[in-house]
Amino acid sequence: MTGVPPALWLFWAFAGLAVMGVALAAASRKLSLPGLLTAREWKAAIQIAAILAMILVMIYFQNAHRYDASEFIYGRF
Amino acid sequence: MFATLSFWCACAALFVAAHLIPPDRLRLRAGVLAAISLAGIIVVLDLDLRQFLLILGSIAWVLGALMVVKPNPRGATLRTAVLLVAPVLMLWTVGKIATAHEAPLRWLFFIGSSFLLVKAFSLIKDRLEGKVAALDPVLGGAYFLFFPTFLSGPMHTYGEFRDTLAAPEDTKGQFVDIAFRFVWGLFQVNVLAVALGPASLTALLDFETIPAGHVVIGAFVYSGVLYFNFAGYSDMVIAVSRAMGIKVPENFDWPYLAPSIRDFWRRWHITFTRALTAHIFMPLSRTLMRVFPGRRFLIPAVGYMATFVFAGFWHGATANFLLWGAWHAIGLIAQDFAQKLFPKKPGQAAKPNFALMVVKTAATFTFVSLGWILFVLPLDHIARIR
Repeated sequence: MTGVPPALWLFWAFAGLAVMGVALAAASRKLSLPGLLTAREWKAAIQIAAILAMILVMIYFQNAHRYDASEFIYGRF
Repeated sequence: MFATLSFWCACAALFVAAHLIPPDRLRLRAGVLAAISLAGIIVVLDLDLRQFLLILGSIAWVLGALMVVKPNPRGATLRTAVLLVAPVLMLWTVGKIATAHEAPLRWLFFIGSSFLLVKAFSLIKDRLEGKVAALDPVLGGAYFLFFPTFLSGPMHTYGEFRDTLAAPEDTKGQFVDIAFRFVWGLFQVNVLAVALGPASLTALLDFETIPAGHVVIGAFVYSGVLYFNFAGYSDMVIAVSRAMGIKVPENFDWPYLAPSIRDFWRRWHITFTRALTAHIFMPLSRTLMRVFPGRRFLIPAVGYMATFVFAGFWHGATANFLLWGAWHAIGLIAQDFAQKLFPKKPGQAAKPNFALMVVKTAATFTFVSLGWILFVLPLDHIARIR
């Protein structure tokens, strides 16, 4: 990753995921993929994919420790 | 807080208790949840003995007083409610001012924080007005102490809390939904708010001279930071509580898509706004209507100002918070005035104008964002804007 800021890699990773998502959506219309799963199952599958993506980004940021009750704007003590 | 082991231990204990004790053993269920919550509050928030005693003392005072005072919907409920909540309010106010000025009495503020005060006043008033038919002190204790919502809401009403405890939500088959809501909340707080932080108003607090352009950009960015922080926190609380079968009211409903300031307050910190509306704005407006009948413009204007200046003080005991409250009150007064000047023509509401809605939404977002300048920057910082 010499010379490329990590944030840029993240951007391209997201852009790639977005392109794949659009391609998959287009393909699913063509191949009748909606019939493979029920609406509820599709929703759960997308949520699981989103959870995994968010967890990966959070690990990347490695800042879970930064959140603290005393820093929370509505809870100044 | 969400990254601490003690938080997760308290939540795990609540989860087990909520699932093991059946809803028909309501008092036992409430008592155990209250005890675990209190232990969680002490450990996670690192309370000292004085703070612990003040929290318990305040709750005991409110519940004890409500066992003695009988409901009287036709009586002067607002006056009685203020008198009953006065000791808690006094300790909270002294602590609040001390906290803002680094005074030695700042530990007083831990009387249970601002949320306990709002819940106490709401419960007292609802009880006096006859909206809470039977008050159970054990259930009341659990209502005040319920751990996930104790620190920063969302705030149940007593009736909502009793109902969800007595008839828990069936969350079978909703595991993915709940997990998604929690991780989305965590993501907002830990990634989105943190990523925007360096460009927001809070980053300007250390500046000697504050460039005006940075303040305006920082205000818009801070809109995102605050929303992701608070809405993310609320999402996590709602998800954790749902996992226990306990339904928590929603606190946000796409507030930055509001086309008016009034609509913004219907969508932002919903549980706080409804308490302010029910317990300050409405009773004050009714009283003013009796004293000054016919003053249709003046009455809501005074009501807005009193309600929002209190809302400002509730957030912080310094002049900038009071001005932030006044800013929103002036916005609402101006909006009422504009509606009076340009009343809707008959049938106008039936034809929504998309372009007009976009302009109104952008104007409301700008107004709210500029208001955050007063919310974040103390007056001496505002004086340094060049």
